[in-house]
Amino acid sequence: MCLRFFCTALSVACMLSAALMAGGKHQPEDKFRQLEEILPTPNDYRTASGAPGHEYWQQRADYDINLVLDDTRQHISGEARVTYYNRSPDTLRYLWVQLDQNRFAADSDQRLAEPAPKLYKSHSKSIYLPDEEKVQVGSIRPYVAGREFHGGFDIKDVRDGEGRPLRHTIVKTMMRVDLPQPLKPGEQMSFEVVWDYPIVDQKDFRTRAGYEYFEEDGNYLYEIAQFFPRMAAYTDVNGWQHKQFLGRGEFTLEFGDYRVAITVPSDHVVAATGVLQNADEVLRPEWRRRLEKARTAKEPVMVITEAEATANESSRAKDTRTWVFEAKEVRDFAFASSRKFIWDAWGFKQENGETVMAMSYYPKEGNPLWERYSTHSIVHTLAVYNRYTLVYPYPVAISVNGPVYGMEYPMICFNGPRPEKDKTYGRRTKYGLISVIIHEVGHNYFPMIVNSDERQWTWMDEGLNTFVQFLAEKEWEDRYPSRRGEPRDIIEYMVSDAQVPIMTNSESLLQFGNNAYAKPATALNILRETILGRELFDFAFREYSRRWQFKRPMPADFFRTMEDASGVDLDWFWRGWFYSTDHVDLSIASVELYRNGSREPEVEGPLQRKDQEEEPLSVSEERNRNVPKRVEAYASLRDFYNDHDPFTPTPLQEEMFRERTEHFEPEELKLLEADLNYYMVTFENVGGLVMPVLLEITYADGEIEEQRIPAEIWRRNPERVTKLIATDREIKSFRIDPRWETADADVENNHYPRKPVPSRFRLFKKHKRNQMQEMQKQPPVSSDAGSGASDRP
Amino acid sequence: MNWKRWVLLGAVLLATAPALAHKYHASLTTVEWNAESKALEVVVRVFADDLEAAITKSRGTPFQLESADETAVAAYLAEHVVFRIGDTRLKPNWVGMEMDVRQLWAYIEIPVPQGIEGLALHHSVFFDLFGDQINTVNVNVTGTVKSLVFDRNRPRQSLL
Repeated sequence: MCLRFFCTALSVACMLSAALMAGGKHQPEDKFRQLEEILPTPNDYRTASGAPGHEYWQQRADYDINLVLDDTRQHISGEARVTYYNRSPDTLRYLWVQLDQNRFAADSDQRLAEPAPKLYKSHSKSIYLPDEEKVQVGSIRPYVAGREFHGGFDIKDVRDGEGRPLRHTIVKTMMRVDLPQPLKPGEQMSFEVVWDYPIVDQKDFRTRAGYEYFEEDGNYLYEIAQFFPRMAAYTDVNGWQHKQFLGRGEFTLEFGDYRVAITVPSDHVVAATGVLQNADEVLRPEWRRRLEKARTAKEPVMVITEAEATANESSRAKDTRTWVFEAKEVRDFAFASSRKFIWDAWGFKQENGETVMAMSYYPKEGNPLWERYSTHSIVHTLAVYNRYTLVYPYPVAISVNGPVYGMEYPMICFNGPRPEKDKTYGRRTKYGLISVIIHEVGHNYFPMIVNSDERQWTWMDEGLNTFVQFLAEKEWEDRYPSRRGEPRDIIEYMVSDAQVPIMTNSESLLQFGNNAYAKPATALNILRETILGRELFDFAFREYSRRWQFKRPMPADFFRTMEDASGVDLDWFWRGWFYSTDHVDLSIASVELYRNGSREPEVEGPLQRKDQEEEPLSVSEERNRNVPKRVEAYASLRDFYNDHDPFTPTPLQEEMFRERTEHFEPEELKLLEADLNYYMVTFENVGGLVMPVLLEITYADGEIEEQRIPAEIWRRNPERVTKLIATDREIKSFRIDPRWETADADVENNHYPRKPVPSRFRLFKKHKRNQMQEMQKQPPVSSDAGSGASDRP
Repeated sequence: MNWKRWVLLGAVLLATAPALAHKYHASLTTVEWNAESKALEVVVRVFADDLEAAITKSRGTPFQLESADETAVAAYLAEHVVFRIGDTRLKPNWVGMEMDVRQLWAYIEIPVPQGIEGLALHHSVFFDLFGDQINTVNVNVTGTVKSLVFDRNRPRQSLL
């Protein structure tokens, strides 16, 4: 590691830049190349700064829906009047409408495009063979269930505002409605649809909505969504977004106002997107009083108690009641209905003065977890997300317990975790519940308000939301067990080669959860903590939320806004984390020490001699030491050169030095006199992803210093780069990323000198062996052994 | 167990149902070759709740990790993570496991004194539970990491 070299400080600097410029025509890939060639060209709709442009437009659709929920057949029938506003600069000859329920139809693309599961041939009749290869019941079940269940919308009628039938063509999960007159820019038109469909058993189909049947009391709990024909989005980027609903890529929707009248058995309780308009018709007076009290209460208030809900379970009303809800500026609508609902509520007063009613609806099977954690989790989510994104603009925020594990809709979400039957619950269930509620309530911000295109880009809502979820979890309690967000948890995924970049369409993602949830969330966490810092990041992230609330951002709008508002060129970061599958693995390849040579013959001579003396003699010289030499036998052969010490300065050398130093400026002489160590630290980028180099320096005197070298150090050579560290002290060791901030995959090469880091396996095995040895060392416990410990060796 | 419960436990529909919006089914396994001890060192990382569901299903009685010993986990993994050389099934040694609230790491050692030529892995963890389960295996026997993806269509692959 140590090497003395004679040169001036100035020429050290020259060498450094020469080394950086080395390399022929074949430069390595430029990881800092700007993204302009990849991002769409800015236009009047979307600016180069990432904001909506001055001609930004989006369509709008208002819905007036009457719905009947048939509890005896688990069936929905409805009629809707849709008013569509063409705010685009284009004339439309037809409209596209989404029929999501059709993915349960026998001919849906989702069913048809599903590759066959692997089935194993069996010689035994038993399902489970003793060998590990067995027939898989689960893999056959969809084919059996698919024969029995015929789902999908039955579209009974499509008419225009005057009652004239409209020609319509159903293309699986999409429907084209042909307009008798083209709809010009700025015009609006209304049409009516009548439909019905059977509700799916959620537990069979693992869907985003459905029913759950409770055997013990014979009741159903409905979580209903995608229950009406919804307008497909028409955008400046994609035109009509009518990519088939294949089950994974979620939804792309337009904003509008909703009025939904839901007719259910009169003993049902309904929770829905929006504000209840006829509370005096459907709620008991005492429920209304409690609800009013909850607005200003200090903690959640029970609106329907567990006792009242349990009593209601045995009711079987024959008559019906209609609940009317209205919601403004939402992109969707969902609701839940059951006899089983316990209901609690708590008003959350926001910084803008508005009170949001946080409310939870759950069957008794959800307690004791739900009464303790659900509404608190909602309010916690609003409090934290408001700070990092935008102020929640809706009047209610609801969490419902039912069959769906976790699914978001505007103002309402469905969350699954429940305690065991004996009312106990494990840590996993508890934190699973809090996390899923934070996640689903958090989805109000992304994508319900910041209305990204989910069918195209899963990460834009899941990744951003998982990131803010991580922030909210960390404010729930210390060391909250977050599933995603910490850099160290993403490493195994990042090093695997079976992955695609984050910037991949939702349906084509491999390793969906890691790709669209965990990796972007972790990337944003690293961007915030390590690259931009909290202040810059938080400002930019809030600006993105502010710019795009109630609008439809695309990936480029996010990338551009984060740069625009932070003032930091992040193209290298998007390139590495969002457009590539590289991982982080920086290494310290070598360290060389350079000293400042004085060139003064008086000083340098003895040093050079010392260097030579420290070199080992060659083996031949060593062995020939006692062999008689000719110059010793014939003294006349000796001359000046035999006796002169080459390290003694000659007058000529001293004259040359004087002449040379005369030309130095005083500043240069000062540099020469500085007695510094120059450490040339060479970093290698093994993983490919360029990242800042977080360098920890440990000095010989024990002091530790951290230098945070920006990622731009890689801008000329992303594979190998050398950093010069000038110090008057001696350095003992170097280390990269001491706090595991960057998801660096190989920790061993972060050390210089190298420090072996045992694999997780060997660490565990060693730890376990130590534990066993400790246990065996314990003296046998006997009742009179008062001094057992002192007997140990 | 009545049929309804059985359906509850066994209901897994790939063809008609997608991965749930917010739950994904994946595991990560690391396989490293220790040339000194002539053994494969395997770390299997799974979601703890998935493992509970899988063992509950295969036993037919509710299983909770917090109140159970390691043998059930070892047995499940011995059945679903199987190394072979040719037709010979390699015997795994259970080293132990660690878990936090979400995840579980299982440590398994497989002595292969004859060397690893022809090494293959059958990895079917949770295939009996989820149609969309994906098991990623990072193999490092030569100094570079190679990743293999095991799903229901590819439960068995050569590791070299």
